[in-house]
Amino acid sequence: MNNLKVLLSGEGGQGVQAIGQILNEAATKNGFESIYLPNFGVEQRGGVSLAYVQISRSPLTYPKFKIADLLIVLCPRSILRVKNYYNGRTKILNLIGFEEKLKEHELSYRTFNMLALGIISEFLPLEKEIIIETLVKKFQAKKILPELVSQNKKAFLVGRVMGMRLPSRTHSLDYKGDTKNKRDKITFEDDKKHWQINPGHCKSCGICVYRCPSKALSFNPKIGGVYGMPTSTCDIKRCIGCGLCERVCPEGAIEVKKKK
Amino acid sequence: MIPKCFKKESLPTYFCPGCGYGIILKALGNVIDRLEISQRSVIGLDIGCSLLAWDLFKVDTIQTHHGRTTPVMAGFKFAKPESVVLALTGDGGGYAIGLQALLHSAHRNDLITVILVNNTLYGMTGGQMAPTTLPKEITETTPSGRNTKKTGLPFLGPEIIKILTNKHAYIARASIRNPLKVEEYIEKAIKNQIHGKGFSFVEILSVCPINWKTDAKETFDFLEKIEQAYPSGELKSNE
Repeated sequence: MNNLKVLLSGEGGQGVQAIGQILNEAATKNGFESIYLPNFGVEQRGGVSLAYVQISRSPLTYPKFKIADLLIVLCPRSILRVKNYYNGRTKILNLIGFEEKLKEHELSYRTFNMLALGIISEFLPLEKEIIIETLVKKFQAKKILPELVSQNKKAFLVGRVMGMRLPSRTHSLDYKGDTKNKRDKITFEDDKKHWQINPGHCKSCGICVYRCPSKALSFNPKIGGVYGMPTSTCDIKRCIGCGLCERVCPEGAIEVKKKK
Repeated sequence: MIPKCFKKESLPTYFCPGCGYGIILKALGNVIDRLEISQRSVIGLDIGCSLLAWDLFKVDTIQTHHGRTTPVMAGFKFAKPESVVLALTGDGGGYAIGLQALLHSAHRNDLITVILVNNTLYGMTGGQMAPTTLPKEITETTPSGRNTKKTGLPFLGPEIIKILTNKHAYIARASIRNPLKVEEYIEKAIKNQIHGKGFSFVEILSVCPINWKTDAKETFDFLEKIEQAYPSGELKSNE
């Protein structure tokens, strides 16, 4: 192997840049030359995030590249974003839907990037022990709770086992669902009123929760909005159907109706 | 409820979470629906956060230079008198770089509707001090609070425009705390133009949680301070 070009892509906030940083550091510790470059943009405000990583035996000159050798896709929207970065020789890892497997191992949704790192590590010439060491150090430096560090480590180990025998669909970019960030509307209703939210539009600003006069609204961490942050949910027993949340929602994500 | 004149495929909008523009544009959309003017209205957008609304309406939009929304839309009205022109601008564009254009337009009594969104700072560039910044408010360029001895007091736009205009003008100020009032004033301002009376100007006090670095509760607490500095209501109404 002369120069291995890895392109990582996923939803902003999914942890794509963290994978890139860990790969870069681990490759250097393994004695390789390595460059990592994040794609600078407005990804924090919703969008597809890209990270370019190169691992090589010889010195590297330029951080970007046109065609990747290994392409990792973590969300449906990134399929469109990376369409110019691969050709027939690119090895594709399509990890959409793997986050569902986190539940089986009682892992948090936020550790999805470490699960992906575990799968990717099977395709790289890096020593797994060094990656784990880098990973643990990186999360310890963030001063998060020790159990979260061990959760991330566990997710990596789970990913490694998964990476040994991947289903064949992961090596193609076929995805039947909608590549836009669409989600089903969630409805709460009783015999007098009907409260509906569209999580695909909710930006988790919290104005509805703050302005609700009967304190019926709260955040639901299980359902992610546009940026993957908790969306608001309604306790229909306390709701008085005034419709203030509908009026103050800047995105028009909430709909309230009174039944007659 | 999403107004009918919104493009469904443009949602969610490009605005930051909690941005006041969403509430203002929903109110504007409801007015456009109610008056059924989506076919003949034109929205002029200033440089700044207002330009993020360029693809939100099923209405023609024009992107102008910074602060030049008012004269461009006044020119459009001269060329096509049957159209309904709306100039959407921020406090930086309207009260700093575009102030002379705004004042002269008001002085000439141009038949246009200017909607000015006041969030007390320059939002798109990262929260620098604007003419409307409150005394002692911390922004990117006033890290120890605005010094009124050096930079003057907050700029009262509608009050100044009130002096310049004649009795046919419509001037009002509303806050996004009450979206119904915003809608009412925008509707009156547009009707003032449609009926050919004169210049109409609405200043809307808005929020910027990203640059104020506040959560939902703190945002509305700070909006209350702004409401005290800039009293809401109709300053000139010819009904």
